[in-house]
Formats: sequence, structure tokens, C-alpha cells
Amino acid sequence: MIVTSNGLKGNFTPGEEHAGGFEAIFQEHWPKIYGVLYSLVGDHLEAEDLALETFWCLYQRPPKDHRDISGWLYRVATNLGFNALRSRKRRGRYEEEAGRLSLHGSSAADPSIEVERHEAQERVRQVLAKMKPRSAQVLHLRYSGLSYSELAEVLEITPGSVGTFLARAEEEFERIYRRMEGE
Amino acid sequence: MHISDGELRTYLDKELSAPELERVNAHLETCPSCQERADMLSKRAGYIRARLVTLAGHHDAHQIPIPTARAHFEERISIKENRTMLNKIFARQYRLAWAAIALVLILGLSLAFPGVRAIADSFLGLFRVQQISVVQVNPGNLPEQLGSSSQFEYMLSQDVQIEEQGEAQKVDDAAQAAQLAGIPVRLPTDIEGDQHLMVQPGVRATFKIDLPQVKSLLDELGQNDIDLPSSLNGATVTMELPTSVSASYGDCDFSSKAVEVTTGDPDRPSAGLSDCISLMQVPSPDISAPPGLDTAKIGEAFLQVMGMTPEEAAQFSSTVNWSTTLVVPIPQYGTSYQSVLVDGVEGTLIEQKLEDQPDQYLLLWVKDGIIYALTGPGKGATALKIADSLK
Repeated sequence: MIVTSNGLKGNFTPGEEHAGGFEAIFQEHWPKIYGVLYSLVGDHLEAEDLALETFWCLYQRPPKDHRDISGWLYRVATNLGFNALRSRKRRGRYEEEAGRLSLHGSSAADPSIEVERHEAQERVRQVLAKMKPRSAQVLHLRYSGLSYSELAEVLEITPGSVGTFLARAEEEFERIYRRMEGE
Repeated sequence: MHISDGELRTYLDKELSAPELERVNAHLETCPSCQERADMLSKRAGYIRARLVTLAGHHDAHQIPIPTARAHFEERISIKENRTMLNKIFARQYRLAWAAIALVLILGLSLAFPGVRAIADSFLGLFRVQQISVVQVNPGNLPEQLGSSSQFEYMLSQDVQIEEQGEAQKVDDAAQAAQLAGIPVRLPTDIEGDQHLMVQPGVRATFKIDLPQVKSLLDELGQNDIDLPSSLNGATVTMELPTSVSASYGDCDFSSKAVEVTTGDPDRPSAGLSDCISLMQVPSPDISAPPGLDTAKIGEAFLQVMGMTPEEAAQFSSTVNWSTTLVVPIPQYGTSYQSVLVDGVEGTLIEQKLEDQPDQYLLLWVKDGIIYALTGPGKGATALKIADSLK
């Protein structure tokens, strides 16, 4: 199959409103999709794998409406990302990661600071994994820098309800986080 | 009426529209309970932010360049679409990548090389190389059956006659090589490692075109929309490949190189080649065919077999002079090319970057009727340095 300059042959039929086709979408969206997945899973190989999977979904079953392509990609990417987080054997994985960090050292002057930071990240990930999927999604994406209108696209809701979702998600996060801290 | 949590949250993020903002501001001034909730939400948001920002902002160091990501995506497509034939697919991908390089690199070696190169040679015909042009093709599009087609093997055995003019000979120095090959032989001076000089005898290949058979082969490959001129039928094409000289340095195994490229483990195509630098020099092959053959048309067919759509093939075809240009197909991903000034003329530098493999370069240029092909491990700059030290 040849990749043509205006899109992909096969399953991806470039819509009129997206004359750039798959190629242009990939170029434009790869960095942020990868970035959001990297911050979610904290491992560049896993993040790349998930990002490739996201674009594979686009390639295979593109949405009918290309206007919301960005929201669609974020939605698919974070769904995949949270699935990965939830299916992780958290404890084992966490220790492996921490071990790798302390072995390889880091750019930080004091490696123990880096390990602590890493532990904090893992705790946040564990909380996100325990939350309702959509709540975790809105929270992670909001703090990755998405605007309300972008979040509305991702969640397929009106921009007016984003605040409600966000307030609920924050309440849920705090509750689970404090409970875990108390454990 | 009080303000909802959602609206207050939106207010805190400054995402309210101007009229909404005005209304909320006015209400908060007069409503302590809403003000209290706003403070609580603000405090909580700060609490959350402090934790979630630990995740953000560290991916830049690991950011993957888009072309790399795109190349990985291409691999992903291949894997997904052919999950059950994983190995075959990789074999196919790399086979073309290497066949494309081998096409030029081992012009002087035996024609007994399956698949891509032979069909390429038969289509490439009718030219005397004066310049080199690169075309990017998608290896995923190469018909998988090309290497295993029974039709193709039959055609090769039935229709191609190959005469080798002597045996390969190892020689000691440039003067001896020049005498045997009948061309001025130049060697790099800026290079390390033991030098092995080989003179490869010329090859004469005669090919009689059986058009119905070619068409059934193309059908088998799923390329039945390729339009071949009927004047091709029965035409005899003769290709004379002059004697060539190969100089190799480092860890090379020239005797088995052709075999390795085609039959070696496809997942590690660079095995045995990665530490070998080699320079081949050969006068342009001489190809003759009955007059009146539409070379551009045949070139287009060749490009289509290599994976282009008919429109793309026609477009590219119109930009080259097929009777003087050696068209080198290179894979679209993982490989880049550029025009460079080398040895006082314009050359083409092809660089291959594949995951988990050392970088490889292939530098091609034509000077005074001789084609030079320099290949080895590393960056293009290394190639240019070696090429510029030819004496």
C-alpha cells in the first residue's frame, strides 16, 4: 500500500474538511499525543507504543467527522493510556521503575530527590487508575494544558459542562488520594 | 439562585464568557456561602495541581522526532496488517531496502539474484548512465510474491541468458586492477583497514521479452493495470555490464555478499556488512534494445511495480530522461537522500537509518563515464570525506 501525499489508501478516506489527510494529521498531532501519553504512563517506550496504537486506530477506523480530530485522538489515546495504567501490576511495576531510576542515576544532583519525585508520580498514577475513566481523563488532560473547549471535544460534551466534570473529578481525586495516604 | 460548583470551577479557570463572569462576580459579592465554596474549590484545585504537575513537563527530553515516529508507524502498519505473516513482512520490507541498494552496489556481481533486482534490471534497460536520480517508494507496496513467484523463476530460467566473461580476481594494487578492467582505477587515501581489491568480470545478459508471460506475471503480482507497449513482445534486450573494480576495507566478506543480501536473516540485513566500507567503480552498463521502444513507458511500469500509483509514476517519469538516468528506488521511510558535491561533480547521498541498526550510507556519482558507489557504516559526512580522498 502506498502512502500518497494526500492521505492513505485503504481504510482512510480523507474527508473534504481534512484535505491534509492522515499524513498531515500525524505530523501535527504526534508530539502532543505522545507527550500526553508519556506524562500518563511515565515510560517513553510504552508511551510510544500507545501513541502508535492511537494512530493505528485513526488509520484503521477514522471518525466520520474530521473536524474534531484532535479531541478524537486525545480521547482514544487517554483511553488506551488509562487501560494500560489499570492493567499494570502496579506494585511490581512501581518497584521495577524505582529500581531502574536509582540504578541509572539521573540528572538531579541528589538521586534520592529523583526517586522521591518518581514515587510521587506513581502515587498520582495509581489514583488516576482508580478513578472513573472519564474523571481521570478530564483531570489529566486539563493539567496537561487543554482548554475547556478542547476538553469538551474530548469528552463529547458542551463546553458549559466541562466545569461540572472537572469539579467532580477533582473531588474524586482528592478523596481517593487522601484515602491512599491514610493507608 | 446560587452558583453551581461547575460554574464556580469554570470561573476559577477564567473560562467563563463575559456576561457569565459579570453575573458570577456580582453574585459572589453578596453571597458568602458561594464565596466559601469558591474558596474550597480553589484550594482543592491547588491541591490537585500540585500533584498532577509532577506528571507534566518531562516528556520533552524523550520526545521522538516525527520522522522516526512515522517510520515506526509504518512498521506498526505492517505488523498489524500481516500479524500472521510477521516474519515474511519484515523479510519483504528489508529485502527491498537492501535490494534497492544492492541494485546499484552489486551491479558488477552475478545476475543470479532473485526477485526485485532482476525485474528492475529488465525494466531499467536502454540507457547509458550519465546521471543518477532517486525515487522514494514504499516497500510495503512491493508485491510479496515477487521473490517467490513461479512465473518469475520460469521467466528467468527460460528467457535470460547470462554469459560471464571470466572469473573474479583478487589483485594487489590499483595499477593491476586498471590493467585488467581497462578503466582508470582510483582508490581512497583517507581510509583505514586492510584493502581488498577485486576485479569482477563483465556480464552479458540477453533477455527476450515474452509479453503475454510478463503480463501474467504482473497479474500474479496484482499489477494488472500496468500498461506495457505491445512493441515489447519478442524484443531482445541485451545488457552488457563491463568489468568492475571493488575495493573493500574493514570487516568484509565479498565472496558471500550477494548471497547474504538476499538469503541472510532478513531481520538483520546489515550483518556482515556493517563494518565494511566498499567502493565500486564500473563504466556504465550498455543496454540495447530494438529501436522505437518507449523507454519512459517502461520506466513508468517499473515505478509501478515498485509501488507507485500510475499517476505518480507518470509524474516522476516526466522529470527524468530514462535513456541517461539510473533511477534508484529507495524506501520512503527510514531512508533519506540529498544531492551533494562529490569528487567535483553532483552526486547523490543516500542515508539509511533503521531502528536497532547502525546507520549506513550509499554515495553514488558518475564521473568521466564511470559510476562510483561507495557504501559503509556511519554518516554521510564520512562518505564524502572518503570520496574526496580518491586518488
